[in-house]
Amino acid sequence: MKALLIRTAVATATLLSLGLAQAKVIDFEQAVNTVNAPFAPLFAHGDEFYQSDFWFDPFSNAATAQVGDLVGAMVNGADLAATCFSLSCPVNNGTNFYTSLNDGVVVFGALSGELFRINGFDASYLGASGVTLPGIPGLLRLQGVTAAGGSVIQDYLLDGPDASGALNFGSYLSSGAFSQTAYQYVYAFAFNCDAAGSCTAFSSNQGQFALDNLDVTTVPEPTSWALAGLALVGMGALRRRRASAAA
Amino acid sequence: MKTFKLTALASLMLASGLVLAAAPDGRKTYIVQLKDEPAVSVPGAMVRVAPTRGAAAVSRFVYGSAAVQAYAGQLRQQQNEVAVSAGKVQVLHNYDTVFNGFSARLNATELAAIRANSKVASVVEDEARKMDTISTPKFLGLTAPGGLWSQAVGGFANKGEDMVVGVVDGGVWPENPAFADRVDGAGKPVFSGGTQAFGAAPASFTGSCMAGEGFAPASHCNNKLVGAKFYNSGFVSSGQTLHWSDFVSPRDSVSGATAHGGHGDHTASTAAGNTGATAIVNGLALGDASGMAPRARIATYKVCWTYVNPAATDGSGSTNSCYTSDSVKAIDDAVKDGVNSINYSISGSQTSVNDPVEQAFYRAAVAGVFVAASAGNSGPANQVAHISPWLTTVAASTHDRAFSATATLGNGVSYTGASVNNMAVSAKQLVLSTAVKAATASTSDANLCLLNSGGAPTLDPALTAGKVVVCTRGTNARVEKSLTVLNAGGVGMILADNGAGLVAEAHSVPTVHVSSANGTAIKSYVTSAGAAATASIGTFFVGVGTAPIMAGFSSRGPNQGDANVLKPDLTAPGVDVIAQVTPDLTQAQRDAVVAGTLVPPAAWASYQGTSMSSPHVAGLSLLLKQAHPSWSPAAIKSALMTTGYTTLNDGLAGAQNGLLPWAQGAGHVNPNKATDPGLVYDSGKADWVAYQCKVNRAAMTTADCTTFGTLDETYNLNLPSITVGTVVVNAVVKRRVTNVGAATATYNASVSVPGFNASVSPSSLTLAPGETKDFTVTLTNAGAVENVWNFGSLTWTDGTHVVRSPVQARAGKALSAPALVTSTAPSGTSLFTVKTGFAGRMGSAKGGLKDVTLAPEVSLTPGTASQATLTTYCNTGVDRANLKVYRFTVAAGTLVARFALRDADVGASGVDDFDMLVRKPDGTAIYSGNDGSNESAQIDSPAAGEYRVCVLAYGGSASMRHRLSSWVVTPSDTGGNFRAMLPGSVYVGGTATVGLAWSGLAMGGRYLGGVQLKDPNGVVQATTVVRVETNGGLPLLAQPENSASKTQN
Repeated sequence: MKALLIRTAVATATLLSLGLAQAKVIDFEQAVNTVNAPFAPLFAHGDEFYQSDFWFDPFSNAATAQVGDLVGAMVNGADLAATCFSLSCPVNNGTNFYTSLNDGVVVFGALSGELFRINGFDASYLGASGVTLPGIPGLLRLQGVTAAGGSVIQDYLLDGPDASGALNFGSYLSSGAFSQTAYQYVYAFAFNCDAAGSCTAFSSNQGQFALDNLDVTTVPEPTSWALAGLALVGMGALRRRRASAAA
Repeated sequence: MKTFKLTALASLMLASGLVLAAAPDGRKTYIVQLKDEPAVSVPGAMVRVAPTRGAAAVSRFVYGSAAVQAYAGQLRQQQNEVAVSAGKVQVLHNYDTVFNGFSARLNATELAAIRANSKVASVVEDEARKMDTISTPKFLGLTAPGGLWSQAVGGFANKGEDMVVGVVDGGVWPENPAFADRVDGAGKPVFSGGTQAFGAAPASFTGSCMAGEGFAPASHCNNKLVGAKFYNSGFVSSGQTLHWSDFVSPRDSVSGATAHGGHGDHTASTAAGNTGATAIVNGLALGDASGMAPRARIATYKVCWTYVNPAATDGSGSTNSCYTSDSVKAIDDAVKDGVNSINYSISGSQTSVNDPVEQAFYRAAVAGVFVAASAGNSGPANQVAHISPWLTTVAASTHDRAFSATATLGNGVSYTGASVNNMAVSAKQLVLSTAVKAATASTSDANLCLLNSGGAPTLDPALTAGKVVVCTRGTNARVEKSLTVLNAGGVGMILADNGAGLVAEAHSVPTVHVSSANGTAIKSYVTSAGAAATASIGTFFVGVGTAPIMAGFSSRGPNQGDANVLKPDLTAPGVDVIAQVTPDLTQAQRDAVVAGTLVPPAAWASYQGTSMSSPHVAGLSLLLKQAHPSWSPAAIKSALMTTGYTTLNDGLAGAQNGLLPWAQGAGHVNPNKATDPGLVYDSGKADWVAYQCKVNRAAMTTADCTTFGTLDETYNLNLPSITVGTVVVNAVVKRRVTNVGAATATYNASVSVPGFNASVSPSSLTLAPGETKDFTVTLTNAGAVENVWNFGSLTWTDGTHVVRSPVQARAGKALSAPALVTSTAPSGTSLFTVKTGFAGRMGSAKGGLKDVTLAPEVSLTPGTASQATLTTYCNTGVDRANLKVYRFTVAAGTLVARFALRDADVGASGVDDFDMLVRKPDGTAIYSGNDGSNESAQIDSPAAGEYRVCVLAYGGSASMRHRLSSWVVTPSDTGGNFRAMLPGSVYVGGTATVGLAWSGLAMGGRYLGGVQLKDPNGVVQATTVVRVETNGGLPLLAQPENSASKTQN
């Protein structure tokens, strides 16, 4: 409820500047507003945070999930040995980035309520300490939900460890129908894969990924104002939708 | 602005008690490490050169190369800038080769300024450390037909030709024939006449000799002793008074009852002393002596100095110490000079690789220099030192040349024990020391034959004169016991062992050192025979004993700094080793040596210690380097470890047993096999950086950790041993091997560890010469008992070579998590992986972060007491003149209790030596008895009850002041917005991520917190302790944990 109020307040402020298609890169460098993320830079099931006029809701898809369960964290890539104390994080990014932990899902959308397209992003798998990673340790799935309620999915292969055993961010561009569709909000979660190439999600706590430089284009629509209203009303639907979307 | 920041930091440090105790000028010696890499790491430092003799070209560090010279110039300028930034700072040493930094005398303001300098990586206070063979070449098989010495490399026998060993120790006695460069007609080493046996030093060696008291390079150095330098700036700055027995020069100090010389000669001559010199001990010729690499050259670097110390616990009135700041400079120079191996028979950290000496050895190894270091003489306790993976840590065991004598009792029964006695004693009355004690002496002191008890001599001359006395080993030096007997007029001693192992050495009265069992039998004979009891003592004879057996004094593992790295690495002869020492000279004779009016004699003695085993390995490394110029230090270590053989059972119980890798490492060195090991487990800079980014992050640069990555689990470091401290359900261990054989070979693996299903993948490897391949070892718990080590092995064989690694694994609790997270940041985040053996929801409890509680200052009077005595005192629980008892009531559910003393919190830092013992409610105790006053004990998830912290004023200034630091963290302690977050559910054998975060801590604090992780039944399965010292982003002071005791005999 508090999240909704904050989001409304921020959205109202930004709506006034609408009107043109705007591309932007969400780089996770802004200080995190802790009103709805009291444990930041750690994020729990049920938290919400804001970056670059987008809202982000990290959550757990587990049936037994409880408020307070760890599902994400903001990581300072310049000090990985301290932050990723015994977790293999990507080594080629010295800035802040988002990490989704313990099979966590993060869903995000524009605070303005505008639709948006995904152009590209940087992503990496996160390796648990002491686990030997195969060449393809995991997949990142983006599942975009349109204003009409339909979903479009695109999966991205995440890189395995390099010659020195370290993980690295790769840069990804979306493609095809997924890249051309404008979404109301997008889910992101990871599958982890074994050496035989069999990949599963939500069953091991090893579906973990890092995300940075999320390149999006917001789409101006004549109905923006109305959509903003819809977005507010739609919160309940969004929360309900998570379980089925991610199942 | 900058000035303001510095001032602010300084005042914070004062307020928090970080400021160091005031010396007369308010200054103390510190070692300052800068962030930039030293010269060995600069691109172009390693130059590919053709060796003087032999086949393949090899890469080696060349200090004189243009790239290094230019870089070293930059470093020197940078060091000057940092020093000047703190004002008029007195710099003692500059380091540039294996360590970038300097040592300097600093007051609190200067210290704060240096610490605040952005170029500075760490600042640690200088520390005083202590120095912890005639037939051993034959015992090691070097002289056997086909043995290493008989093999030829490039036309030269494999005896260390054109190799140079650097001995960082107590100096050299240049009159010893081990260091001569000529031979007489019979092939015996001589200093004049005869023929030249050594040509010029190898071109790769650029070292030299320094002049000083009683040491003239022109006459004392030669083509065998090619380097002799001394380093005393750190020692001088300590303010100690040099003892008359020492020389301000590369010359080793003299030996004798009040002196401590000989150690430097012993280690140097064991590693590379000439062959053919006749050893004479106690006036008896014991045969021809030789070092392990008799054709190698020797460069000595003197860092250990004897100073006046009336309070010396051995009664000699003097103490010998080796200051870290001097050792680092010596290592820096040795690498610069181009030595091939370094021997370091000096004590070291038992818990940290972030020690200036260990860090210097890290870069020495990067530069291709092999380092052998002594494991320590605190055995059979778990106190192994020098735990860094880049050096070879050597334990000590017996060899087969035993010096024995026999004591015959009045009942006709004879007991043979260790002895070098050369004066027979006819049958005399035999008494127990407790029966002839002075009235004022305690029975326990009399049993041990201490010099004094109750302020007077322990034994009563009226009762002792003319008799043979039975004394018991322990607490004081063995040779002090015979002195006690002599002082009371006794004519002989039977020394009953305490299980530590027999030692043959020169005593004040004729002595036989018998086993514990024989000692008990002799004591019961005396008791039953009463005044009629008699004993005679014969002279010594040389017999061939059963060997090798681990020495009782050899410090045991496991590694207290990293349970996933085996230490010690291997064992070598270290009991009754005869080598060169220094003669027992009077002060007048010593002065005559300085004046040049006396050419002193050579000297030999039988020593024991890991100090003696380490140079055996340093010498053997030269033979392997000569035979295989391209082998890295890690390859040499691997070859020595995987070809070793097991020692014989020493009969000790439990984790101290000599057959376990905690005692003997991978086993006893077997040099003839080590030269052809088949496979090696190699490692180098990339491995060591990744390892340190895991365990020593604060000392590493972000750039290095980015380039080389961070090792995920330290058991994955590519060592020739496998040690997994916590196996939750299973562990997958990574290794890689390189074929160093001449032909392509197919190796098959076999692995077995009791209590675990163990497998190797792939189980067969075909490797071309020089080829490297990876494999994994999977250990799956199959009935292993929780928290108990199991010992097995991994063997690769191609039918010709057997490549054996010890494998140690311990089943962990149903949940594994890091035991300790450290930080210096006032706000921080830490994500870590936990591994679980159950499914469902984890539970947790947390407390902290809580700042230290500093107890009010307490003054004590110094009074030495052993661990046993301190334990007795603490059990009694009453304050004494030399003891303060603190009581803490710990409630159920407490997360962590930690107690500590710091040199910074005592009255006379660097002088006062406090020890600490923490007695738990169940009566067990944790002892922390380091030299100096940095002591600590930590109990994670402690049981409820009363904890006694007993602080002992072991020795130091007349009035010894201290303040105890304590933390008892319960769930009701909150601070720093400390939070711990867990995953929603976990899986059997699965992993998950746990997050910790804190923020807004005040600067200058020493905070402690803890998180208990629980299984679904609410049982605590792991505790992670968080230590945050908000000191401005500097590395935490490396602090020993629950470790170390004084070396005692």
